[in-house]
Amino acid sequence: MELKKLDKSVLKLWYIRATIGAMALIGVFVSVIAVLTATGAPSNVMLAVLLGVGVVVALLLCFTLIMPMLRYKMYAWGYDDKRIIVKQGVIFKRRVVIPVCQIQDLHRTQGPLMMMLKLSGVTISTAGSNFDISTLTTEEADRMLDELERNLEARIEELRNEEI
Amino acid sequence: MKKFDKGYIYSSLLSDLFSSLVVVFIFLKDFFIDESAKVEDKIAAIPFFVIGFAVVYLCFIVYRILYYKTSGYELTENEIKCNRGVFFRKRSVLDYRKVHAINKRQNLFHRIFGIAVLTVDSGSTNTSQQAEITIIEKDKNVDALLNELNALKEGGTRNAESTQPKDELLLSDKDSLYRFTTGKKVLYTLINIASTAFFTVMFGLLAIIVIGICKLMLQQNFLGTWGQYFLYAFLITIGVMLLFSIFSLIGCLIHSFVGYYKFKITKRGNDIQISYGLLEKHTNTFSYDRIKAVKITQGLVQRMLGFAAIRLEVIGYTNNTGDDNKNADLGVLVPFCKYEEVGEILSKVLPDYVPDEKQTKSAAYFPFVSWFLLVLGIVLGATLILAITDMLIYNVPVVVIFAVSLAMIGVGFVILIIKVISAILSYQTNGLAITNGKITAYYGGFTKNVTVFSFKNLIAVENITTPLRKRAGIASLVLHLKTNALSNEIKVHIQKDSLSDDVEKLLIL
Repeated sequence: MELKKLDKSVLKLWYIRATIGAMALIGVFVSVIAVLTATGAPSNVMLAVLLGVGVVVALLLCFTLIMPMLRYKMYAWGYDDKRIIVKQGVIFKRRVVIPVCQIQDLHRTQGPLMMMLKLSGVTISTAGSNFDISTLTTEEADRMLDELERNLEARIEELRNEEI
Repeated sequence: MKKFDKGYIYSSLLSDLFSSLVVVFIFLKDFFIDESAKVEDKIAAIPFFVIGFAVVYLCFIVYRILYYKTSGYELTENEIKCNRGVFFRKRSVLDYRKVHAINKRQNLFHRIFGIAVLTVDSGSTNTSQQAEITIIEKDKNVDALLNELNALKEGGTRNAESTQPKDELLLSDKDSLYRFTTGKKVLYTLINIASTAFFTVMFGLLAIIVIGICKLMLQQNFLGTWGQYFLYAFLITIGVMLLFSIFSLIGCLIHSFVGYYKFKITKRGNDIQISYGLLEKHTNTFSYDRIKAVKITQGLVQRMLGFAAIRLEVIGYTNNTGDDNKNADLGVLVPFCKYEEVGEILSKVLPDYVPDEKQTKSAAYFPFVSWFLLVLGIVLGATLILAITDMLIYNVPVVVIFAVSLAMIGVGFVILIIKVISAILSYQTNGLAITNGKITAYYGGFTKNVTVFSFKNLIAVENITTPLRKRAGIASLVLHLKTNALSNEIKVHIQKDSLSDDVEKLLIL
């Protein structure tokens, strides 16, 4: 089975989310400076706190901004009439195989940002776990849901006939 | 629709009375103990508290009566129907053939009024936190319903034949396939206490290292109040842990002697029944084919002494004591037995779930600790650098910096030792056996777990690796089971990469 890459607009969504996260981190850093300045903290205290908070914020900032690109590069997904395969993970690479006949429900979800970018998340529920296919274009998600639904019905029929 | 027994109102109100009194006592004790308050003020306040209590209790009375009036059940030809709820009304309809587990529960208050609670579950736990059907009836009616529902779940239709079960399902003590004797209960309690004591000792060891370093500094008058602070903090923590051990002892005693009073497992045909409890009696009934998995667990102390517990994954059967809630906990099959007896017990009760010997073993030791070492190194190193830099900026004396650094390294060293031991145990434990339509997964570290399940309950397979591990042909395996939401993943670590391909072939595609 050939696995597909995510659409480029997914990367855009992840970068928007990362930017929001980065702004929140910068906000924390600025708030700390503001509090220290307002309380007239001595310069050595200010230096010590800024060093501590600054290092943590800088590391998190790098992580937040690099991760979307790495995640995008590593993500791959695909399905056929029998199984769904999702590959993901930057350091820990995960490959999950879900048989189509184990699907219980399929869900398509959209937040405000996803709606703006015409993207959708897909959740595959089974009798045990839920599996997410991170983000697809709404068109792809609808097509996937329709095809999986058809595949599931056909597969259940096949298995029933095999049992008979 | 038939109403619940009126005993529900009386038993609930009696239990509410106790709860209300406890709440009032907690709120009032400070006021009446308060020496600064005048005696006449205290006396004057009593009527207000009595009125407050009466109002609260009246709310309970109204709620219980409304619940009674709005609740009921009905056994139709093909389904069991149930209405319940006051503010949030719920109507459940359950086809007899969909019945997964039937649980009877009777607490002390229920027994005073001769009633029992019967919950009937369809097994759809992923979204629901409640059993589908709850019936509160006279004890003997609940027993009759239990037998009738057991007959109906096989037949599917209620007619003259099926409503008259041929066999009484409630069996006597002598039929029990397992005996939780007093000797076993004592041993079980002692091992549970030993487990708590073991972790207290481990924690104590960590504390002693830090205290030792700080005390040394104190003796040489290096640390002053800093050292005293460390010392007191750790002494208080140890005190709390000891107190926790005492509570644990009491809890274990109650749990094993009262909670597991008259524990018995009986089997008739396709049905398995597990009953136990003194103050709260449980009778859980489910079909053999509803079992999703069997889990054998061994805590560290149990492992050292060769004992184990066997638990069952049957959706709808848990050890919960709540009103009618069902969380994703596993139900108990055998609370305590020798590990070597597990096969023998299972072959009597659940012959399809006898665990097989491990066929694969962990591919390497180092991956069990590699990431931990990296993370611990980074966290400890960064914390140490930041702490030292901050102390230098604050002009803290060198000896203090030295002591703090030593204490931090000491803590890191103890954590590392714990991790190394855990990794050795994981390395020895992890593995898999695939035989005769079933998988036996061995996993865990300090706690050893063995889960046995059939191929048909395997719903997805996940392979987790890193670039380095991929090159070495190593991967961890996550098996997703058709079970409760919280326990549906089994992680078997650091196996040969090809194993996940073998397991993927077992998926029913």
